[in-house]
Amino acid sequence: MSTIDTNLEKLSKSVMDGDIDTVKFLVKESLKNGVNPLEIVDKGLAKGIRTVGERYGKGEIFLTELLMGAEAMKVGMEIISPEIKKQKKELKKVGSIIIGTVAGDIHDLGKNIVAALFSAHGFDVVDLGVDVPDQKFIDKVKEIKPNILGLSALMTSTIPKQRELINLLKSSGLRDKVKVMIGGAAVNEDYARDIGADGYAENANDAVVKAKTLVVSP
Amino acid sequence: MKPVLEFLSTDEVYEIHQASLEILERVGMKFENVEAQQILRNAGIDVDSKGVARFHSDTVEEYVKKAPRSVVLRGRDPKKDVFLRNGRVTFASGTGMYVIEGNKARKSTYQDCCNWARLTDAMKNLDFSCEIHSTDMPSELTDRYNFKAMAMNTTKPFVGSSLSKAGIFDEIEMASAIVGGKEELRKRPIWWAGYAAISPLTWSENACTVFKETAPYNIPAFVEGESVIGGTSAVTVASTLAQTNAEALSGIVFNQIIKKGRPCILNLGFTHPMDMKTCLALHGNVVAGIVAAAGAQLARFYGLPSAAWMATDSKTPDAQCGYEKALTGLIPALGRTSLVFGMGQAEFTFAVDFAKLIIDDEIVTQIRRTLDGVEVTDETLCLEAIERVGIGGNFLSPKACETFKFIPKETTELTIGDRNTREKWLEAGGKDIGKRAEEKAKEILATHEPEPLDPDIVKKLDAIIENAKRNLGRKA
Repeated sequence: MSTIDTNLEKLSKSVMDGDIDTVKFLVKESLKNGVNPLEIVDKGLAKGIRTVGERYGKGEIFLTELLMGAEAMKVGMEIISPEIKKQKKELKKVGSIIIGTVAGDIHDLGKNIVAALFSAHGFDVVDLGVDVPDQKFIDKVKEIKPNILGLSALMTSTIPKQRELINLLKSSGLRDKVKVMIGGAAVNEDYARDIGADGYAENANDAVVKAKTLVVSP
Repeated sequence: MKPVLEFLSTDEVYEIHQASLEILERVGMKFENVEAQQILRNAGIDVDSKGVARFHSDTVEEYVKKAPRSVVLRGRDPKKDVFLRNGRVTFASGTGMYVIEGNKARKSTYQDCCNWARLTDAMKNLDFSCEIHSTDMPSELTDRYNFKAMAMNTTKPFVGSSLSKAGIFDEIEMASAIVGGKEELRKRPIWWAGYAAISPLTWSENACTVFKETAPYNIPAFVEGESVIGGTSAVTVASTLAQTNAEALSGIVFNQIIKKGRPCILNLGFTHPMDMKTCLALHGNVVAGIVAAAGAQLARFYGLPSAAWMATDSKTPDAQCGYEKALTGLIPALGRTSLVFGMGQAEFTFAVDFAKLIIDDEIVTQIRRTLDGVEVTDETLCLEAIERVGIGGNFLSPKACETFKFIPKETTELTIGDRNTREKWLEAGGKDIGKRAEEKAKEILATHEPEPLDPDIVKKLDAIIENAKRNLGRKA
């Protein structure tokens, strides 16, 4: 194995360990050594976060370890992104997502975790926050044209909003322009199907996996 | 603080102790073994023609003090040795003559005993193991077969049974073969001998023999008062404690006379309340737990280790089994009982259930967490993290990363219980815990290989058993 490969291997391991300082160091070091930034992402950062996600999916690690991995990935990407632009290279685009908690609901723990993971997996994430007015979702979808709209609602009293928003997308002529994913403690697969959402995920990691399939599907 | 559950005030502990002394002086304790009677007489204790020994308080107190404060249960692997310390709670498997499979029970075999030992070897919460009986072997020899099965399939300390004097000698030989000779056995007694008094107030022929013959090797003695509450002891917990304590104390006095400084365990926790309608001795009952916890308090008063039994009267891994196991495990554990037996136990103490062992391991995970209590330090208060995360944030973020190291200690993880959403649960087959545990037990048995016993030692064990078989034939 070459020194470059060894370093990238170490980088992916550091992402897995959530070791932010080492990630910073190794990314800078690799760039200094002239390694192609896209390769640093592909063989280092992205490989690390994928493994973390898989291990989380298998129940081998805690949520905090997943999130530390995501944070390490994010820090690495912050260093590498300007370099990618400078070299006029383009990162293989994974997709874009607008995410927010629906009007009347201010819970954001789950939504923030999902946003962090999407970001770590290379999605462009626009987080509209909590208690987001219906029209704001619609306006942002028009403006950004994301692949996915993620609607979070925790309470049984606010989950009907998810249905309303899907109907609003229809009446605004946007429903076929964006895939809708829903999440929150009170919703499930059946409910998602019932209200005409494209996807539902059990947890943050599943959400990313599901979103990736939605992005490539027509 | 680490929680300690106490059922007796300091004064009450003293009062029960005095009541036990009064019983031993006024009523006395019968020793059925003639040699034992003579040993007691030689020590200056008054033993009448019927074998009833009456003890003076000062004699009892003098001899009980000789029992050491430090008791170690030793395993084939020294790393698995269990040091019984004040406040430390350890857990062991149950025992039985039947194996439960689904809603049926069948007699346990030598192979079952091997598998049982192997499964207990794999359980992370199980500190030491109890045999189940090889009922497919000649009944006079099952103790030797059980011993071999246990020795071969677990490196943890284990408890055997001794059915006869010849059995004891053979088991001493077997234990010596494993540790490398009798001298080594004195240093590392990897085996321990237990016997219960026959309530009310009798030490049987066999109990005296077991204590006597195992004494020279300093093998820890498990001295038990095991009354049936309401049947062989009065129905009140207070009286049961006074009587079973008297029984166990007299056993400890006998053990200290024959071998000063022999490690002893004062066990009042195998006492079972009687069902006043059916006459059955109940095991999965909170009263048994209360007696065990109060018994542990008495044992601590003498500076000795104690024991209890987490049990259920249920026949299947059902809801009754779950709540009885949790209660009869948690109450003695919170009472800081040194040894809690019964993991995998079912149907009184008749049977074991491999699936239940898996479930009980998880119950013990929860019990251990309860015993750890609440740790309050500058570090565990996490004030800096609270400040950094701030209002409206969350503690899963890297801002709180110094708190993550507490996750394994502060939270509990289930390995067999279900914490999934309905969808995930259905996806995994929608099975109840009994079914999942059964599958897990099979999976462990298919993969777990304990450190094997040296083949030369196995040959020695086989030779001892063969010899016992020949002797048995000669007798017949």
